[in-house]
Amino acid sequence: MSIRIIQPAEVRAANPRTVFRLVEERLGHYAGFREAVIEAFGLTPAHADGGEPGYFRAPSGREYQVVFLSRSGHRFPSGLEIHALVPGFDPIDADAADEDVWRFLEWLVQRVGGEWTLDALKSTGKVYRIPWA
Amino acid sequence: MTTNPANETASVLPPEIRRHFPFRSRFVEVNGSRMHYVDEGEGDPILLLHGNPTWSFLYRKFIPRLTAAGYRVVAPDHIGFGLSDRPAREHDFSLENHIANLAEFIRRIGLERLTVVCQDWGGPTGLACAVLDPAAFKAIVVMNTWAWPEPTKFHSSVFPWRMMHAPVVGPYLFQRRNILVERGLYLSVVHRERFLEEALPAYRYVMPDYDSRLLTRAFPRLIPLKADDRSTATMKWLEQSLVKSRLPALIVWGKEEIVFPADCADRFKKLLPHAKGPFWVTGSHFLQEDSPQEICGHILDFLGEIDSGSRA
Repeated sequence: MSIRIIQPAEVRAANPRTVFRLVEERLGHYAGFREAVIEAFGLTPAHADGGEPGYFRAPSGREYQVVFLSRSGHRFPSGLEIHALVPGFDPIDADAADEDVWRFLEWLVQRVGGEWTLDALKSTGKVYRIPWA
Repeated sequence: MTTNPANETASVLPPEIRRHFPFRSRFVEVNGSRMHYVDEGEGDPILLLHGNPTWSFLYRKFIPRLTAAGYRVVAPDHIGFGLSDRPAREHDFSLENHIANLAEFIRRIGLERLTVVCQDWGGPTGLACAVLDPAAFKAIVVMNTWAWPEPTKFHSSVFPWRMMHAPVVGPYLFQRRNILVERGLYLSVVHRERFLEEALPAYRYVMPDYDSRLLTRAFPRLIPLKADDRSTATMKWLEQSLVKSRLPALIVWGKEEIVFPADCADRFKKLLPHAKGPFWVTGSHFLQEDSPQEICGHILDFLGEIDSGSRA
């Protein structure tokens, strides 16, 4: 099972709060990543003006919000934030969230394609001891 | 805007770190941010410049050796590292800002007849200061660094370098997982057991959380890979300026270095044909961890020749 993009109405977490996981301020540092995000989330320039965030469900079943950032002088989206959707006042399981975000990275890199291969990501993860690589 | 999570920790470094770094912590404000530094000894100053993701702790074994030889030793932490302030946003940070911060630091401290010893990002920043104000400098010492826009093979490769700091991947690996401190340093020293016991806790201590690690991923993205990258023009300017430099120079290189391999030392020799060296020492990228005594010996021999020449 892979990452699944979901609509806001499909979010299962009850009364979720958002818990910050990471921010990418330069999504266009390598252009293919920005293009892959645009395609995956169906973004248009209109999203920069009050558009809805994106959502995804990890293989674990946990859900995440993706906030798209806009910056003058840069093409939209210039960046993104990933937030875990955590039910109510439950604590976040940081290791589980890290594994979910790793699965998101695997999914994203495959969508970028070309020289950005899943094998290169996993090999990098193994060198740097990412447990789920 | 900056944050300063580490400033308050300067005076309360844990004993196991302070034991290896028994120097007084000092701070100076440069361009609105507080910069931490060590300033020990008396004599002509030697400026010791670290790179990513280290801090002045990297030079802990240089400081007593060089001060004992009659030099004043100044070792700052670049903004974003060690006990210095941290930019809060990646967009706050550029190579040009970093050079400007170091140039202002040198002015604020009032350093003259200065020898700069630089490794990794200490190279582009320290060498830029030397060519901006050569009258303030006595000599330059380059180790495992670069000063030109063309990337090395290591920096051009997707695995592992470009993948490490790719969009979204970079914040995850560098900031959420702290890979450069937790693994990268270890992989880039030769004497690994000693490093784990003595040094890793100090590098880990100053990068305690996601926000404190921002610059560890911002720096890699500033290494130019192509003509229109953000730092390309500055690195071109640096190379063109450096080739005109007549400052006495010394090249010391790690025999096991793979980030800036041997041909980078050769390129420095072509840029600075009057330079002494290259002298090859045991060391991977962070050669200061592996061969501090040997490197200090080369530096002192080199400075001794300059000083005896100027007295003659």
